[in-house]
Amino acid sequence: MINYILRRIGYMLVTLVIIAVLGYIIIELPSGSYLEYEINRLRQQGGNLSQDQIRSLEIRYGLNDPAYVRFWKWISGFVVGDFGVSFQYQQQPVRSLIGQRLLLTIGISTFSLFLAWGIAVPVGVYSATHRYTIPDYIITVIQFLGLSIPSFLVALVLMVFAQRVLGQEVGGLFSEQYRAAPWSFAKFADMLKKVWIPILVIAFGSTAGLSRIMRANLLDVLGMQYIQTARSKGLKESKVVWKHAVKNAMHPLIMILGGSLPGIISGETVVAIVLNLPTVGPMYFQAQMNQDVYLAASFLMFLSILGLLGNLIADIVLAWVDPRIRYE
Amino acid sequence: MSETKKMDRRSFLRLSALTAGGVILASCGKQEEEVITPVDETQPEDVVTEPEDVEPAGESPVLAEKVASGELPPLAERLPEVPLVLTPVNTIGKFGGRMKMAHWWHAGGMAAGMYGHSPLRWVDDGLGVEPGHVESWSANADTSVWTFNFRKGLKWSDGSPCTTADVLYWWEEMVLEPEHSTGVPSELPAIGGVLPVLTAIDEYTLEIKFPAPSPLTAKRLAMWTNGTIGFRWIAPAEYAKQFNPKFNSEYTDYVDHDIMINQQITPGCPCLTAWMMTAFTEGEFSTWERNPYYYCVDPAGNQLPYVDGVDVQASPDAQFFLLQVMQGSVSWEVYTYQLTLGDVSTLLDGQEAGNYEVRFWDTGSGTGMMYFWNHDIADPKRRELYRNPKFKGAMSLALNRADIKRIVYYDTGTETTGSMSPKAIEFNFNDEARQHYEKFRTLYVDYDPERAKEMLDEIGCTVGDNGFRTFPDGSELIVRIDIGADAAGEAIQVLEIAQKNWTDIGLQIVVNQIPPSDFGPSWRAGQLEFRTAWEVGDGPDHLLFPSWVVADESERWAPLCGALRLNAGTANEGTQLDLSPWDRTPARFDVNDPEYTESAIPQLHALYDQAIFEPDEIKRMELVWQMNEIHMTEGPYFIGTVGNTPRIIIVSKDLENVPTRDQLALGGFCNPWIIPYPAITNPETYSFKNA
Repeated sequence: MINYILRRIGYMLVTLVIIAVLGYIIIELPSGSYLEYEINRLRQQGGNLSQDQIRSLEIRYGLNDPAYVRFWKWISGFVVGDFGVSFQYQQQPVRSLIGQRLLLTIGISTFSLFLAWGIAVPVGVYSATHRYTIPDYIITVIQFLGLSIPSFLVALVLMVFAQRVLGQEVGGLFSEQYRAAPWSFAKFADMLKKVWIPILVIAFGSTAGLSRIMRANLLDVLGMQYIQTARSKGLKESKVVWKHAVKNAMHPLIMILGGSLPGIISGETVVAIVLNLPTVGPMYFQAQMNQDVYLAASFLMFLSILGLLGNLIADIVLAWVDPRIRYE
Repeated sequence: MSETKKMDRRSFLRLSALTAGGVILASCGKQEEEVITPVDETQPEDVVTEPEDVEPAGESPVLAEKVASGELPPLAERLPEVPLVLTPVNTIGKFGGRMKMAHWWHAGGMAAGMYGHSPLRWVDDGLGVEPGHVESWSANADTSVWTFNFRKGLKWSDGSPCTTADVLYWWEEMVLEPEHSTGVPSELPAIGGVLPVLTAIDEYTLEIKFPAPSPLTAKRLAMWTNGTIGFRWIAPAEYAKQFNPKFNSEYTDYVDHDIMINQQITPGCPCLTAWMMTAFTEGEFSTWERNPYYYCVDPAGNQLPYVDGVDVQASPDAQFFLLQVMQGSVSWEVYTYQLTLGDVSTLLDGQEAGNYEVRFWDTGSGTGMMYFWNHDIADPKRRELYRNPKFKGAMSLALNRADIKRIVYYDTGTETTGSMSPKAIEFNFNDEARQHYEKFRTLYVDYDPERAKEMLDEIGCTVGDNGFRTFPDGSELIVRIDIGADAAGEAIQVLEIAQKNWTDIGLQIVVNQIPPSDFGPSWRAGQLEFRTAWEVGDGPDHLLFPSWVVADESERWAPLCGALRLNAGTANEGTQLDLSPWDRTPARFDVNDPEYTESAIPQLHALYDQAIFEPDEIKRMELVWQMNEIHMTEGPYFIGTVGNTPRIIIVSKDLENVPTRDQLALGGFCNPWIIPYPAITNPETYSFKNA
């Protein structure tokens, strides 16, 4: 087991190196550089950049270095925790830009993930065991709504609902007086008042998908012969379903869990833009748009690390759930 | 529901008609007496001093408490000997309250609203220049030597003295220092390769000596809010030296230095603005508190600002911003870029519930959504065509601007061929100036497709076998419209109408979407041909920001002619002459290239070079008119659609002293950043009615 994990971690490192190189190349592929964005921004403000100023910006951002030199600067810093500076945010260090956003994002996404799973599994089981009954039809309708309505629309609707009907102030995660305040119970309580919207929105879409999968798998498993055997042994139906059927129907869900870890960071981007959440999604999006290479590449690395970790965890959990899986 | 909507739409249209009427008023009669008094900064005896001598009287209770507890020195010691007096538009305000704002450009939004770092200030929508943190100034007879007298006792927000040394720190450490230069700002340009010399005569007297007459200096120094927008001008020297590797060996580069002295992102950095930043998180929020050392007072001697603090939240998304406004979370906002006129009916709907008022200030746009040909495109056949006034005039006449005005701009603004801002002084100075503007505006403004077709026939672009017009030599002509893939809704809306109009006169049109970061390089290299982007909104003086008039850089309608100017006086000048202009790096013409000499651009360049050294304001203006005449005979180099459309302004009903459109000298001039809106309206004089 230990050997297996170590070997997998070794593979992960190799994969990360490949991702870093490829990712960096792709981010740099579009012609032009961050400077184009900067020039454009100043133009829109009516500003003018002299040849002098353009040259000094190029030197300052190191834009005239060959790409491999820039890559090396960034990646050698990255391993020791220095992720470089962001161009578009006045050269602030990437680390301080990402910091709190990353925590909030992981918090919100993990919470919605648990919420989605907590709802999806029982609902999926229920509608599989009560197939073609009225409750199943109702659940199915809601599920398809969840799958088909884009999450940003749900976010907008909820936001207007919260403001018009509940009379709540919407937008962001904190009220004015707490924005700059250090963490405290009051600030946390204030956040809870606002955070339900994004959690609900993010959970809504994924709950629908997950419970559909759960339903379909369980239906497959319930038709299998060992389930009939269990029933004929005289086991209680609940035990048949939960102990024998559900456990084996969970495989695909666990595989999905592995893939959903990077989604914790990037999945909520559109929702976060609409709701103005201080999470990483909108920043990652802007960084890509404006060729803010170090910021974008650092996000990409985090996403990849999470993706690989997720797969590793999924594999381990799967092996634990299913004794048929071997480590060879 | 639909009934009320209709009502609102109607009342909006009525309002728009009023706005449009107001525009005509503004450009015709109203300012006749006021306009003709531009500050003549040319003569030494014209030193501008404070109009009134006001004794410091009141201060915010918040600060009074701190004085009582000994945390702060008394008011008289915090203010300079001669404070700057700002007069509120309505009434002396009350101290207290906090303003809530939601900025589209989070880090810069506040900086655009505070004029504190500027030595001089524009007033009256750019009709005049008055002192800022400089108390008075003068120039010698030929305007080559300028003297600026600082306010004695002027202080940074941390209480340390602000002197001429702080200007020299910026000039020497951030402009002249080769290791750490943001480049020489075009406001204090090198003339013939020679930089101006800045000398501190003493702590409070700064002299700027140019190698040649520089009559525009005062106006140039009033441009931008400085500090973090435009050229910096001044930096807190003693504070900054802590982070400068030259003065502190702990630092090896300037990264920390530049962050620490950036008032937009570093709380606690000394500043000269009305409010100072106390907390900041990128892309989320910032908090601002009153600057206890701010050097401005109201006519009664009360230290400004009236409002204690500002809470800003980042709000890049349009729908989010709209919701913030409607729930009353925005005290006022001028940078409503996310909104379009289509949002007005929704905004009017929510006025009562959100306790705000919607106002309209003029943008001063000279074009609205605009189009321009690449005057220096590499393909010779296209270049000839795109330089032909008849071809360009025909395309302008084919545009149905009435449709665009009605559909895109909700019947606001004025149809125009396209020019610099109608608010520009050269268009408002006297009757002749106004006639000059009308001539320019109406040049090719009519919707006359028949005339357009005739003009195309006259130059040989006749209809070919496939039903579309051809090049004069009979080959296939496709006019490609280059548009950034990130273009906003307004550009797309106008494009739909324009494309149809041009197809109607027989032009074959192709729309070419280009990734934003790719646009600049291709345009500068003469590869792109006909572009839609931006607006022309510059003023208040054609010469201050002349790029749309004279081709002095490579982003606009004549990139290679502009590159010639950008590279003049550099090591590039006169090199790579054996290569074609489009193969040079950067792509540029040489002064002897026929593509340059045979165009009208050399005349524009020559006129401009004459004008900026001309001390006489009237003569300067005549030179500008001559430049515009070249635009009218050889151009149009760019074509506009509907100019001077209104900007949506949000004002809380609790807020006092935010000007209405009528209270602004020209009805507003929001677009150009060099006349810093809203800073020019003095937000430090805004106050809460029930504070």
